[in-house]
Amino acid sequence: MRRLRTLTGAAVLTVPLALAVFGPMLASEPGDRVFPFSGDGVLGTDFVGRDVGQQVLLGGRSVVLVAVGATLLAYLIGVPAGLLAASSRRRWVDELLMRPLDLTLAVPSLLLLILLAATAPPGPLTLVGIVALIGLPEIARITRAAALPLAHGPAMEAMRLYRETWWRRGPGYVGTGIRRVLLADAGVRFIGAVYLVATASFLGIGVAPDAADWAVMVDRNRTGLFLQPWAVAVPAALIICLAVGLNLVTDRMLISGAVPSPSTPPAPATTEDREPVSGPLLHVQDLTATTVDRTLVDGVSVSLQAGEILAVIGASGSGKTTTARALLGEVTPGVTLTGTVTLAGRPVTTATPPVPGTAGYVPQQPAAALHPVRRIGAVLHEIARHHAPGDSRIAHRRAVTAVLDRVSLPADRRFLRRFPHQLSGGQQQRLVIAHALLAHAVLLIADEPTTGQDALTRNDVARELTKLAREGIAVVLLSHDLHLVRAVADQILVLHRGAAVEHGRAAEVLAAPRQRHTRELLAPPPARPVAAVGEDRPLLRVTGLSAVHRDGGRRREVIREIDLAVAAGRCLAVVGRSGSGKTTLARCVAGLHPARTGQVALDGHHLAAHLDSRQPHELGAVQYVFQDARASFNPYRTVLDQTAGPARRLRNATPEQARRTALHLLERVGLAEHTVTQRPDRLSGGELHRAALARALASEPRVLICDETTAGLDSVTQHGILTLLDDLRRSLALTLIVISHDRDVVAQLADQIVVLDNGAVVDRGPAELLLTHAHHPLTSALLHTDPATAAAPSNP
Amino acid sequence: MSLPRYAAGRSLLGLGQVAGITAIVFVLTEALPGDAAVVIAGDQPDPARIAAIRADLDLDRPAWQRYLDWLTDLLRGDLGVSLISQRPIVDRLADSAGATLLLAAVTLLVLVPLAVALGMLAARREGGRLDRTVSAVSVALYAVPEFALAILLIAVFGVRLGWLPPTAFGADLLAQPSVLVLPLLVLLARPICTISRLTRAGMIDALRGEHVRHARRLGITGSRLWLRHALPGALAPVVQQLARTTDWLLGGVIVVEAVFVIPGLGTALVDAVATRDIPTVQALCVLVAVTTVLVNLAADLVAFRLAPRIGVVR
Repeated sequence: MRRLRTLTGAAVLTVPLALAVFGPMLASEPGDRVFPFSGDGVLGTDFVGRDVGQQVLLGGRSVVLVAVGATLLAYLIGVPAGLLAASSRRRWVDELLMRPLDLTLAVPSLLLLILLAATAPPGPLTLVGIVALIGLPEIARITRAAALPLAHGPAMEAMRLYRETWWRRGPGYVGTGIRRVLLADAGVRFIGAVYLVATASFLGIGVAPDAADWAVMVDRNRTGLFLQPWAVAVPAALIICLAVGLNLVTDRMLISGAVPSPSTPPAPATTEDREPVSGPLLHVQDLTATTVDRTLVDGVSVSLQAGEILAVIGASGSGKTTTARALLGEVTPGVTLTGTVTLAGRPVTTATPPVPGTAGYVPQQPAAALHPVRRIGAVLHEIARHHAPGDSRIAHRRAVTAVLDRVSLPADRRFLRRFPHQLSGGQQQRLVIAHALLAHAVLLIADEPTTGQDALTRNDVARELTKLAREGIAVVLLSHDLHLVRAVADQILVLHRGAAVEHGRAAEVLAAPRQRHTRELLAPPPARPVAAVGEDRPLLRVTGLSAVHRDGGRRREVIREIDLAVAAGRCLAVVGRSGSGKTTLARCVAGLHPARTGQVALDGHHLAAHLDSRQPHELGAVQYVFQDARASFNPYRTVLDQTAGPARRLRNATPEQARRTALHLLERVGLAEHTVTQRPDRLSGGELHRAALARALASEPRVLICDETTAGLDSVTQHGILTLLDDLRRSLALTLIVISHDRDVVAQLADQIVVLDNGAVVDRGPAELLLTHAHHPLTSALLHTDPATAAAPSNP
Repeated sequence: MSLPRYAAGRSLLGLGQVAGITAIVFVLTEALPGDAAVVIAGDQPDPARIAAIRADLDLDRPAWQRYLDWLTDLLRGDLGVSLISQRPIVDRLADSAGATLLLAAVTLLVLVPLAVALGMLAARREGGRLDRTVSAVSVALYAVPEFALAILLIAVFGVRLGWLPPTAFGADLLAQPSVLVLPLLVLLARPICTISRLTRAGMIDALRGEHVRHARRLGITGSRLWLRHALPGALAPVVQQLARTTDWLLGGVIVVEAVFVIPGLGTALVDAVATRDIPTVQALCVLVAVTTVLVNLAADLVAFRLAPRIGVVR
């Protein structure tokens, strides 16, 4: 279908394009003029008696040439302007460039064209200039929008940390990144230019009134439309062919493809026939999910009573989500399900999903399940109405209030008038649960409810799930958060590459895992080795550090007056809830975020606040490992090349030396040469985390800052990376600063701990002390595993 | 960010845009290099006429003073006097605004329901026959210049078949609705493509979205799911495109009025440019620019309500 459209477009385009290119060569010398609008010649004569056939041959070139020239000119100016605006770190440069362009976008383009043409001397060059000027703002905006995330993203920051050459940062990285966007857009721009040029010529702007031009012909000859329609219809048709053909050929943005609709409409809602079912509420027998070439889930069997919690654990990609979606009768297009699923005594297949309302699903990002545009109260009432159509308004309101109370959300009018995005992540999660409860759900599926959350939120979620189970709801929990699983699960199902490698009562599985894979997943973090010997003289010292973020026009102080000191060879962990300023602190030390006041000193030597003002050896001495390893790599170069960068740029190594250093380090972190000579997209998340470590080590740093290095990884991968980090620290005498909210990470690595809350240090001390007895309530809440001692302190 | 705050910020920006546009218009039309009076006099460079134009335009005073005077006059609603007819420009605009407003209003009234319905129909069966037809036609039609389409339609329906009047010359638009059919078709052609495509894409996204699936799991189905849960999310980009469509309509109206001989604002503009009637050109530009800014302002406010997370003043 798509091909057919492109081919049709090409065929339609051939005629006008061939005429524009070859027409003038085929045209003969202008003959004598005869009567206007007569029938002489193939197509008759025009308004001054010239042969229309000859005029058609001559008239295409100007439209195409002016449009091509204008498009090229617009790109020549627009792309550099957009790049400059995107890459400048000074706000006013961006404003100065983009605001006037925004202004011209606010004027209709045809009006601008007429206005400009009225004041400039007529001629094809003027027309080129004007059409270019009209196309330019949009091109600059698109360039800026495409380049902005590249010019300030983690990959660019990683390159700036080792002072990569301008050529590789600019054209090599940003240029390659925006190329595809610009190319896809070029067709649309050219079509726009053709449209404007033709319309302008028709209105008599920029061309001589008797010029041989299709648009001018349409305008001039339309007085004779009744006498000699060919003189108008042929050039008009040619222009239409040009536009239609171009559009069909260049159209790449249209999403086509006959994807079968992902789900069939569910059976009509019936809420009456829900009798209490004896036996298991959920029964799954031999559930298998396959695509054409892969098995995603392989023969899973489970049965679950009402009021029980089943935890499905496994590394990412082990088939957890596919299993859960199958319980809802949903599949990703292209996946085939076999086996039986029975929920509340009724079979569940893709054709017959569960009775609406019986099964609730809380996705990992609960916001996704909430209607972004409607107030939460309106949606809650709608659900209440739908599931109890006969009841009165007051009864509905009471039902909503009761359900909100069950999930510990306020039920006042102000809360109900909010939009989902005005709630916190935890509140959004509970709101989705409230929806399910209003619909009388008997099964609730929670997908990774605690990923990326700190210990406090984790305890809230655990309490919530246990409470639901006590009320008689069956819960399926997908998680790789073992603390949560230990706290709530009745049954545990361990998935490994789609197969159920272990299944049983939670207590048994946790106490005596039978399979090696389960043991690895459940293994407690390796015991902390004997404290490393380090000096007591501080290597890195931070004094009075404050930093602000700009929020629109306002400044918000993120960290205030922070003092820190880390001795050589030691590890300092900075912990705190999300939004407490941990990452900003780390970025200030690395010079990625300029501090407003305060100093960072390395070995008594003051470091500049901005990394571009630091000396190469200073840059090399403090390196930073980004939270999102994949985003911190340039996708267009091999991992090896990027790992060699710091050695090449900061230690003046020759390319060969740098390559050898990089290979050595990559091997050290467990990556083989054939893996790292590929581009980052071929490596897994865990591999890229290792590569990011190797790259940071390539400049032989004395201080290494790791920002949430293991967040979002499953426990096996996480243990591997933590062991590696500790090992590297010992053998290379590294000083580590670890940013984390994960107790396991802190317990395994830290010598010293600093607790941040709202940008200020609220607690600090040696790790062994803080991990067991903390005086500050936030410290104990974050670092102590026992939920009983973790009474949640308020956190504004 | 709350709606009133966003509205206040966005209105300030709109005010700034209007101020900027008046400055651009003034610079482009008056602060030309050389003597504007000579340029304006054009084919009749007779000294008396040049002197008259100089006096009319106050060219002997500094440009910024003239700009301020012009602005204060604008604020008072005094658009000046035409160089050609010597009549107040306000009268001329009031005479021609009716036809243009009628055209634009009728177009929008037909466009919005039709395009949104087409987009929703196409999204109903993604990849189905209707979807493929609608998207192929809309891709093809999207870039066709209005004048070419207009001429072709006139040639076929007005001249060859004789079904519809080929021009609106001398006709009363309200008394003879048939003269509006062809102009309407031409004006609809381009916007209907973009809006139906955007609606289709938005609906398909929304129907696949987690929140619509969530609603479906809760038992909400049928038209309620489509209209209350899927459509609002899909509409935010549509509303903003609609604002841009109004820009196009203003441009399209210029061409359509020229082709179909409708005495509206577009015709007034083309006439004023042809006769170099600078004050009229200025007044028309400001009028169009203010309309555009207002329409975009309204669209942004509606879009903010439809996608409250935008929260940033552009």
